This record gives sequence, C-alpha cells and structure tokens, in this order.
Amino acid sequence: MKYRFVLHEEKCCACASCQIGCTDLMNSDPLGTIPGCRRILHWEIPGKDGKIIHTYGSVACMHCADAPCIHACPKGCIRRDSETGFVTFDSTACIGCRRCSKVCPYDIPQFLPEDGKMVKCDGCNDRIKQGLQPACVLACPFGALECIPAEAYRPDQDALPTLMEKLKERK
Amino acid sequence: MRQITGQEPCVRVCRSVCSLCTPGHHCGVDCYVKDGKIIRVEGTADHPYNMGTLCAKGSALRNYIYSENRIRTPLRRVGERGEGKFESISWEEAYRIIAEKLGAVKQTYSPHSVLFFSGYTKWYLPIFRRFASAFGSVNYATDSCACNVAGVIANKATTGGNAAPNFPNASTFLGWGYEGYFSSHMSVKSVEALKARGGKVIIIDPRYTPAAKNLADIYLPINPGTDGALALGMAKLIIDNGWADMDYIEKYTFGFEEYKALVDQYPLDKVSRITGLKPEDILEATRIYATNGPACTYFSASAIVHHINGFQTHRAILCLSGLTGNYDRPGGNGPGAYSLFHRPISFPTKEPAFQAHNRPTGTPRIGEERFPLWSRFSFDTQAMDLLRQLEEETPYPIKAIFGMGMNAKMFPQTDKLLKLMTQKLDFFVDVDLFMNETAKYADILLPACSSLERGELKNYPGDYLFYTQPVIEPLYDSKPDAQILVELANFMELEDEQLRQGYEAAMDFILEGSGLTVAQLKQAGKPVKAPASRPVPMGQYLKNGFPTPSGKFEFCSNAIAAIDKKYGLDPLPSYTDPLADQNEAEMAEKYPFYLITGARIPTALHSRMHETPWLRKLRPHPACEIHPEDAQSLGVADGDDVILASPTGSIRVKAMVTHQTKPGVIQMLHGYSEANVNLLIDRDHLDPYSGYPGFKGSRCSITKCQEDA
Repeated sequence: MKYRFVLHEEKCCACASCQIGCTDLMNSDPLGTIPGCRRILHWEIPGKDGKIIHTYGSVACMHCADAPCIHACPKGCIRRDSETGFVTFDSTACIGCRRCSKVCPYDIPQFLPEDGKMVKCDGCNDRIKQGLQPACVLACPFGALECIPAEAYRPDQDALPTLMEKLKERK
Repeated sequence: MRQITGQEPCVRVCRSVCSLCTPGHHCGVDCYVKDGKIIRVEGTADHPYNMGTLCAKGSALRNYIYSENRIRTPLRRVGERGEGKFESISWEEAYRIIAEKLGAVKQTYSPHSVLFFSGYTKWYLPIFRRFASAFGSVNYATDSCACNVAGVIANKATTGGNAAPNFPNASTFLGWGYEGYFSSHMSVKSVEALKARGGKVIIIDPRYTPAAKNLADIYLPINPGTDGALALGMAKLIIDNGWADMDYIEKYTFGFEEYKALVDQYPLDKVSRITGLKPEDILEATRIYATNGPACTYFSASAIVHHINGFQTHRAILCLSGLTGNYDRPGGNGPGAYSLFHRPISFPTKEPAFQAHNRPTGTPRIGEERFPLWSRFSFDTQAMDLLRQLEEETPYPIKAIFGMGMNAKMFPQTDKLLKLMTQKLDFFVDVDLFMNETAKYADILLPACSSLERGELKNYPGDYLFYTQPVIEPLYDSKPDAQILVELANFMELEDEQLRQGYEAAMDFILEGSGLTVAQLKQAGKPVKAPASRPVPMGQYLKNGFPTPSGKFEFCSNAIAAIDKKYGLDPLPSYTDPLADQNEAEMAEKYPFYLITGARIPTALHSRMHETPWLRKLRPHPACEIHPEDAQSLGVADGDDVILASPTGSIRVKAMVTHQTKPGVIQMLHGYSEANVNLLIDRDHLDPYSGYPGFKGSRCSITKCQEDA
C-alpha cells in the first residue's frame, strides 16, 4: 500500500515534537546529536490587508512523484520503495557530493558532519511496513501530522500549495 | 543509525513516567531498552493521562537522562563556593559530614537556622517534609513559593476550595493567559472538543500564541499586568447588562454590594484605556462569557500570579464565575475534592497526615511576618524572603541549607542570593542530577537519579495509581532522592520511625483506605484505578455550604479581612498597577519597556532543559522577543545582540523580532545560566498578598550592543 503524509496546519504549533521524536528514533547513540529529519517553521507574513498571518508547520521529505534527488545521485543511493511509495536511501555508497541536496526544492537531504554522508526522511519505511506509525506522526501530540493510505488523500483539502510555494522560495 | 520498531528480539519495552515538567503532567512513557541502555522513548498508548502522546521535551527524555553533565558520585567541595571544584567521596563519608555540619548548626543556633528547600521533581516531598520536621526545623519550602500556590490560596480565600475548569460540560472557555500547546498539551484536546461541539473560546494574553491562533474565537491582546482591571470591567458590564446570576448571588455569595461598588469604578472606557483593548472587543468577550451557556475559566499556574498585583487579579477573575453562577456548577469551575502529590483525587489519602506529623511550630518561618496571608494558608516557608533573612539575620540567622534540586535561578537577583549564601552559610548540601550553577555552591553534593532509574508512586485523573519500576539501574553512583533522605535519616538517627522505614512503607501508609497497596501496584506494573474512587459531583458547596468563614462564595474575603490592618490587604479584589513600585519618573524614563519573563517555549521548562543537546539545538541562543516597531526604532535586527537591563542587573541576549509580542513589551525566557533574566528582577518587587515576584511585570531597558562579543 502506498502512503502520504498530511500536515493539518490548523493543529500545528511548531512545537518540534515531530522533530525530536524523529531524532530519538534515528539516533541509537544516546549521546549523539544527529538532527531529526523533520524541521519546524513559524512564519510571520503580512497578508493582503497588511495584517500579519502566522504560519506554523512541520516539513520533511515530500516523497515527490518525480523526485529529482533520485536522478541526481551518481551512486544510486536514493530509490523509491515500490510498495510504500516513499523515497528511501542507503548511504553506504554515498560520496557526500550533495547533488541530492542541491536539486531538492525543499532543502531536505542533510549531511552528517561525522561521516559526511547524506541523511533524509525515508517515511519510516521499515516501521510502516510493520504496521507502525512514522516516528514524527507518533510524536505529534496534537494530531497535526498524519500518514495515510494514498487513496485516502484528498488533494483539495490535504495539499498545502501556499506552504509548498513559500518553502521553495525560501530555499 | 537504525529504525527501532520494538520488535527486535534484543529489545525490552518498559513502562515508566517522564518527570521533566510539573507533577500535574508526568506522562507515561514506554522505554525501549537494549543491553541495559534506553535507546528509544515513546508515550504509553494506554496510559490514562497522556494516551500515547508526548511533548517535545518528553520525546527528548533519554537525551536528558544520558547527559554528560550528570553528577556521578557524592562530591565534597575543594575549591571556593561556586568554583565547581570537587572531589569524589563515598556515600558514607558524605552522610557523616552532613550529619556533623547540620548538627553543628542546630547546636550553635537552632534547628530553624537550617532551611530545607526543594525544587523539582518533587516526588519525594512527603519524605523531605518529614525529614525537616524530624530534624526540627520550621523552615521547609519548595518552588511552590513562586509558582501555582498563590492561585490555590486565592481560590481558598474566595471559595474555600479550588477552581478547576470543567471542560466536558462547558459551552464557553475563558482561557485567561491560556497557552496550552507548550505548557499543558493534553488540555488542547479538551478545548478542541469544546469547539467541535459549537462552544466558544476566548483567549486573553499579551502574547499571540499558537493557542490564540488555532483556538480563539475572540483573542484579547491585553496590556500585560492589567488583567485585574479587565476582570473588574467585565464584572461591571455583566451587572449593568443584567447578565449576572442574581439568584446565585443571593443564595451563595458574600459581599456582593461592596464588590458592586468596586466594579462600578471600572467603566468600559477606563478599562479600555488601561488594558489597551477595544471597547467593542471587551463587550463582545464579556457577552459571550456571560450569556453563552456554562463557562469555565482557565487559570495558569504562573501567568497571572507572577505580577505584584497577581493575587488580587486571580481573585478578580475568579469572582466572575461567582457573578455568573458558574462556580461549582457543571461546565463552570469546580472546587475539587482532595489532592495527592499535587494532583486531584476523589478520595481522602493520608498524605496530609503523613506530612503534618511532628511539624514544628512556635517559631516564625522565613517570610511569615512579611507575608501573613501566605503563612495563614501554607505550612511552607515563603522563601522569597530568604534573601532578606540571610542578609539581615532577623528574626534569626539562616546558617545552613539542605537543598533537593535547589535552583537559585528561580529567585529574583540570583547573583545576590548566591553571594549571600557564600558569605553567610556554614553549610550547604544539595542533591541534584546535574552539575548546575547552584550545585557548584554546595559543600556536599549528592547525585540523584531520574524517574527512569527509580520506582515511585504516581496518581492520575480518574483516580488511577501507578507504581513505576526502574527501567534501568541508577546511572553511575546515583540514588533515588527518597532513598538518600531515608538513608540519611537512619544515619543521623532522626527520631521518626515511620520516616526511617523508607519510601514504600510511607506510600503504603498514605494509600491506606485507597483499596490498593504498593505490593499490588508493583505487581500490576501499570496504572490501576483505585477501588476507593468516588467522583464528587458538582454542587457540593452549593448544597452543603462553602468552607469559608461566611459559608459562601466570598467576593469580599473574610480570610483577607482577618489579616492585621497594618498590612493594608484589601478583602475586595481591587486592582493596582503592576509596576506600582517602579513608576517614578526617572525609573520610567530609564527603563521604559515592560518585561515579561518565562512565557513557555516548547523545548524548555524553567532551566531544566537548557543543557539538553537535542532541545537546545532548536533554540541555541538565549533570545528576547521584541516587536518589529520597537526593533525598528532601536535599530535592532533579528539576531542582533542586545542588552536587557534593570537597576539590579543586565544580560546580553539575541533579539528575536516578532509580532508575537506587543509594542513596548519585551519577553524573555528564564533559566539560562549565561543570561539569567532574574538578575533583572528586584528582590523586593513582590506581591504583598502571596510574596510572589513580579516575574511577568517589571521594567527594563533594551539597547543594541555596539561591539561584537
């Protein structure tokens, strides 16, 4: 089954629970400081009437339909899981060239200072396959993040075109 | 890097609790343990409180536990106080020194010259209280001398009980200083449920928070510290528009005529001027509050009472629920029944009896003469007077402090307190997990362990009891706080057999009548509903009378009226200026900004998580919030270094330019060692009713740093 992540903006407060929950899962060394694969945002942008609009959000890999990072990687580290649809990676062969990062419109792939290799959100692919929630979804105390079967995704309600555009602008 | 699913054969999953924040929460956690190490923490899905959820702090629990900064062994100071130079000693040696030094103070001065002071996490407090009593000191205090209890006392002085919001039956939620997302994440669901069934949400807060954005139908961006004036103005509108519940007032309240005369002094235009709110917004919020069915009010533990007018403001807000007949009625605010370990419970326990045993009397406690209302309602010392008593040594000197997680940063003018502790104390012993600023001043420092390394008794809503088991052995040479106290009581041969029998025996005594024992709870291994649970329906006070001197809801408080007139305390919930002691022209000119400290951010609580790497990384620099208009006029850009200052101190922080704060208002988070904003709070800037500091209302200046650090 294929899956989609959904952010309910009206429930989000940018508390970073998702990011810390991800950090806790991704990092098995208790003293390590690998950043989580999510990041949070709080924007204050003037609306048309000049009134400030506050936006809270949480961003990770969008698992793009046509993911440029997959084609950009010279070592074939990044692949799509045909079962879940998530863009996954195996950084064993990663040479740290950062092409994946450069082509990503949302600045998602990050580089670990320790070994100079790429890390990104893979949708908690292994957990999903075992019937578990992704760490970020599990960690969100407000139900602002969901991971739902692709057929339940409602583009008219679940897509956040404005947020996505602003993210691209800010890269 | 790996993806833990909990289904690996080598991983064991153990239940415990997170005790990073206040005892009102302490969510259940599942810890994934491999080779004796915790490798993953998740919320416990079937826990009766958090139902699987955790906040950002809780999700970072193991990063906190495995901090490099943990104290590993008992330590004896070898350098100067504050220098942080220690040598390792054995527990036996530490106990010997503590017994000798405390004994010397007791003999030379008196047992009262030893202050027993606790910060977080409070789970051992019944044991600590008994230890202080067995030692013979009247001076026992906790962080409650500056948090939450002022509100509890304000409730008691008005109704005789508490004032918990009854969400499930409410149609309107008056969120006064409510910001649930970062301080009480479970409450957000209750507010969302109220909205989902068509209820209305009013949020009053000088800071534009996620709660104001996501939840409020009406948001009132009030001038900070003027909440009392708004509450009185709302009361006048309610009376003038015929929205008051006159039947309730007649039957169940005391002092209405005097109260009416007070609120008559707060017409809408005047209240609008004081609060900075539009008259039409005040009127609309009041109309909804008073006419849209049952309305419950949220009282923050600190947002209101951290003003020098805070106690009376809390009373003024509470009086609205009496005025509209919402107190002790479904959907309003209820008095509650009993409490256990700072949480409500529906049946009586023996915690009060356990704590009261042998409690010394006859000698004035620290702060007793200065804050008589506090002392009338609390058995604790009001330690906000500690600094004065250390300095002046009246009515007697304080010569030793026994600290459990003591944090000097919670005191105004921290630097002055630490200096006086250095100069005046013969002995300072502290118990903590981490080598923090205060711990560095200790003569003997003992390593405590975290909630994941001990067993403890907890209670949760619905009368659930939970006795946790250690997930891992105590790290290094640390021990559970209660065990340290009991071992020391035995070493010192304190005359208290029950105390010396230990924590579990004490908990069994406290649970007598609950229908459960520690052994049963340990065997269950998860939260169990107490057989004694008998939820008390709303209306008990209306039916049986209020436990106040008049037997009624007291607009005019008899408890306050009974305090000696020389203190000038007003039995009516009158409004005074939040900066009343700082308004001289010179002061106002030099320090034109209103400073609010301590508004929550999601990744910290007090000073506890500032050194937790995962959390600190998300907000690496101490930063103050400043409105773009002020930033522009000062030439300050986001991320610039600025100096915040008051007559008592100054700190250098980053500017965070944001519309979340109001023009003229600076918001600064507390608890940073390198930028401790409490240096700016004057030690005498205190609420005369509670003794609480004006942490959320004092003057400051802000200037851009000219040179680079």
